[in-house]
Amino acid sequence: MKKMLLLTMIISVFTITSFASDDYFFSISEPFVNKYIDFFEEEFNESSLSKFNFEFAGNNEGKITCRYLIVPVRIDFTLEQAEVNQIDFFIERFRVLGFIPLSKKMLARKIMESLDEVPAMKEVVNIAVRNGRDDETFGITVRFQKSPVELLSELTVDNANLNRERMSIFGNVFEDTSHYTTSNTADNDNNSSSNSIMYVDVSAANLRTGPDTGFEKINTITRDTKVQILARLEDWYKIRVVDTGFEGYIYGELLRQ
Amino acid sequence: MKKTFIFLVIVALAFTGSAYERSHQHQDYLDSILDPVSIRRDADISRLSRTDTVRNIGDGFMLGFSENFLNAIVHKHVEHEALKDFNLYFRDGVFVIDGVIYFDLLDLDIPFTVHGNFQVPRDNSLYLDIAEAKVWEEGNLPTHVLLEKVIEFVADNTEISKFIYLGYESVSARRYDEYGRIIIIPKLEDIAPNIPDITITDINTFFEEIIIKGK
Repeated sequence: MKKMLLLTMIISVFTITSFASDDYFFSISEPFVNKYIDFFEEEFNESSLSKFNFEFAGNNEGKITCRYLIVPVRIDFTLEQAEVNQIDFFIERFRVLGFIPLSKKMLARKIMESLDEVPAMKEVVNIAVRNGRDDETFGITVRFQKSPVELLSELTVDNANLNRERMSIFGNVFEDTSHYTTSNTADNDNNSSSNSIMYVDVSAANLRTGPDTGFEKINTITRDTKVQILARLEDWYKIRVVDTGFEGYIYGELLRQ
Repeated sequence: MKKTFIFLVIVALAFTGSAYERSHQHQDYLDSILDPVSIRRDADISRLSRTDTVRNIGDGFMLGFSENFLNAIVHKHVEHEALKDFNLYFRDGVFVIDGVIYFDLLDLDIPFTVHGNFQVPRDNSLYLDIAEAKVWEEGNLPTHVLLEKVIEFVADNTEISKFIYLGYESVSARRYDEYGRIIIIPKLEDIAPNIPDITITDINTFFEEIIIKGK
């Protein structure tokens, strides 16, 4: 909790002064987001979802309310961190006010897949549910696959914050676009490595909740442990430990064929 | 022979000196508009006013771009061999276009500098009212005619017209009767095809940045 507060404070301070060093910022108000989401009500209805509403509380906290069939759902989230072309959210609380024949994680995945299908988001971002500290907790990763602005393919998203009633993203102009992982590239990487088997090549390797040493450690796995590759994100692999079923991220250099 | 040679050297020196003098005047003029001394004072004010602007997002959106950002767009989409140079600068309440265009009628590279300020008389209509325009080459065309030619050239010969309507209008008010107005109508359905029904409502320039509001 303390770490989260410190991280939030650092992000807030950075974003207040960051436009001096960033090439652009884009701020959208809560009413603008909700009006925009309303345009795609039909697409959401196809996934049994309706009455979407976003609230930005400030301090990088927000809330999504919606209905799955007739059951109200509420998701409290925190903007956890933002780095080049990726924004990570952590789900603080997930409440379903009724019976839904889906687990919370499956429902979250369904909601995120529906948001991912919104035309503007589909082409630009990939939204994925990722594991949390345990089976009850999880996060959302929004990865930008291409520049959010048609006019300029060399843009990146470098930072984001949630203030009261608005969300802002900040970024820069680069000369090349190699920093984008397009869906094609990601698919190719996934196709070449997904579901293949590898083994831990060091005496003890940390299995983490996300593709960075800043993410929490789930547990430690030992040399020669057999793992199944689920996905690859640059130098990190998302894996499932074959014997235990634990899923998480491990640094690629720690594995061998 | 000797006298002819000396005469030609004098003419060449006079011409070179004149060109150098104009180049110096051009840079001095540009520096006077982008004056760092007054900007240091104005920059503090503009940062404060920008903070207020950032808070007043209302129920719409706000975009902030640096000079670097807009110049990157311009250099990508406003490209033509006749347009030798084209740069944008922003200061508090001031928008500057500085460039060089090859004018085939005169067979000359003509440097020009235009500055003015933005108005948004109605949603999605951006007027750049020109306060002053300078041309740094001798020619027989009045400045406002040359400006009109430059704007027409950029609109008809570069890719920028896919994203904006660009026009020039002479304004018959005393302040602008010599320099006119550049009109920019963003084609938002092409700039942001996946964000329906948006419009631009306000635009302000600050030190090295421009902020656009919309809904």
